[in-house]
Amino acid sequence: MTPVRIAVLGVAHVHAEGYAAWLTSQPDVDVIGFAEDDPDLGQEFASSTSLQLLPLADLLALHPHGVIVCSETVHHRRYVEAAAQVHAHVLCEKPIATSLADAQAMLKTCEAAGVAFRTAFPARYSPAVQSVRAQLQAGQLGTVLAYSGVNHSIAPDHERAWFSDPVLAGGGAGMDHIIHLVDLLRHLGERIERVSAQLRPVPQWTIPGHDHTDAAGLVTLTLASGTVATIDPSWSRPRTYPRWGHLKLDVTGTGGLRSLDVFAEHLSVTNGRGRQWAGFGSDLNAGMLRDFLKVCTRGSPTLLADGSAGLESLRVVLAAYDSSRSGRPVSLS
Amino acid sequence: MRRVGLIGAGLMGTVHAQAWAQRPGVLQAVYAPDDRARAFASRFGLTACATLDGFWSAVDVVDICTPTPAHADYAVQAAQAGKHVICEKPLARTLEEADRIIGACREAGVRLFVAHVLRFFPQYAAAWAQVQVGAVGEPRVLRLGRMSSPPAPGSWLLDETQSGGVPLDLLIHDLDYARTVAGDVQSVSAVQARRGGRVTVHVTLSHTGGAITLVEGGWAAPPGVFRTHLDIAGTEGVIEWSSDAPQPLQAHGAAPSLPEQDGAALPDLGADDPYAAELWHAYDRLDSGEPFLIEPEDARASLILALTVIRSIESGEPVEVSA
Repeated sequence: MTPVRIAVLGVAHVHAEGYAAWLTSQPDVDVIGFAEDDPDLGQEFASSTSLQLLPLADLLALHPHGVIVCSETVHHRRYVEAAAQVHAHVLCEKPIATSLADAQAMLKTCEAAGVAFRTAFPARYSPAVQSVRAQLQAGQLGTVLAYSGVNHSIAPDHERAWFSDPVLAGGGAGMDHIIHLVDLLRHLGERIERVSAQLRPVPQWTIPGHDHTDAAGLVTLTLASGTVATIDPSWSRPRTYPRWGHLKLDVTGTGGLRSLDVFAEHLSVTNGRGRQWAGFGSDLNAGMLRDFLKVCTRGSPTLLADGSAGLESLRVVLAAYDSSRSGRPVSLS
Repeated sequence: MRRVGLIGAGLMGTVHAQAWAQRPGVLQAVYAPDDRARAFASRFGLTACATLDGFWSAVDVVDICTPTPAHADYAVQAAQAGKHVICEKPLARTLEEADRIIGACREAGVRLFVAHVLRFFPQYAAAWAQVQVGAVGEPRVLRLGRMSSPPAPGSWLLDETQSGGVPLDLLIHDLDYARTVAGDVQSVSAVQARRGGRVTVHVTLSHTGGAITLVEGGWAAPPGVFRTHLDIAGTEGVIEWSSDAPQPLQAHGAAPSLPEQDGAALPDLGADDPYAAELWHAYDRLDSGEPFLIEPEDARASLILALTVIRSIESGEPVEVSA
């Protein structure tokens, strides 16, 4: 069997290392290398992963079957368009762009080139997400009144400064974290009609110089089903928190009440470095990447989000920023 | 592809058959001397072999899921027929039987894997990995718990001359895990309580390396309950986990439906079936030739520990562990 050739384009996102580790452990995958604009970051990533750093043109000349785009969000478009030119399928980190114009352009380019564009939403691969989705579809929870979602974390800009740079990331906590829960709601069959949000900076949580980037947020969504949903995307966990954060969703239905805590399965490990929650649940990235490999070999993925899922969820995030600026709810047509 | 055949069509046989089904075609046959096994064969789409001779010619690997006292005869015959042997835990009811199995496999040049599944449960594997990378220093006090509802009335497990009761059937999981994490055991001190068909056992292990372990549990929980916990305290820190922790998806207030119990209760397997993980581990390592995570000597040592627990309960005294 010919191994699937995968290239990583940009490694600025904190997820890049985990993706690289899983991919290099697979016997049917050949990770041919990665591209990165920042030479220091490139060196660091090369030494931590033992992968080869190559100029973008040289990397794409090796004809990868698929690329994984993990750069700063604003650079996604450049990488995606370059990959489409060599007919490589694309798995793109979320949010897929900082503007709708960029997102739409990327999707169009990929379509014209006949390559797949997929969005990295690993939470769909949680067995608990699939269970609650099946329960909702089977009507076991009756009619849903409300969802309450939480995607807290420690501010990631301490690890990678660009996360709170408005030019490179398009925003802060709102850009980083509203989108996972928006995609989950859409995955559960909901359509979002109206967005109301408060997003604001907390300079004590972000790195110096990024004092004006939003770090706290509360978002209220009105859904076409008549259900309401809230999302807390805040970078509100202190750096001493036992893990990066949470992804949770409470579902209140006329037929039942469910709490989803995607990363609930953990050991508590306490030692001289403090307390850590060491996860032992299903590897969500593995499920997602396995599905992307199917795309690269012309198979049918099961749960992998497509480009439109990436675009539509970005539309909601951008509406939240509009609402926060204007102080008014924003309707999505 | 190596062909696997199953002996035993009860609860564990069902669990194993479901796990083997992850790779279609690997599990091919079941030894089916009776109606129950024939029904099992048709449920899983397997060849039902009425005789052992027919069974041996249909398979390359034999997976034994019978009640414990039948392990030795089947395993020895499988080895003599040149088949690799996978055997449910405990390896045997007595050390003599265990040695007969190990000897027969060695003589026939076939491999033997004993299915100590706890090492493949993700939380126990993760805790062992944390210990191995030094997250808590040297283990000093371990607490390992396993409390299940009693086996269904009429189950062979309740006949302790056959099953070895709580120490040999249930707590051997934690005894084996304690050996893995804290090393060989020097002495065992155990007490047992029985009231109204319920049994609890508490065991203290003194490890040669200086650690001590409490293994506690029994068949004393209400129907449908299976609680487990682990707490590994080392010189530099502690690892904590309990099955009481909220699951990734919690239902509030809804009456949980109790699955029908056949024989022993099983803990919630979750999405990543540890039985599948252990069976594929064994299967793949037959191909690669690498050692199993549990070699026959490990299973033998864990059996000795469980038998020593029974001796300590019977004598009311601490008992030295002899090899």
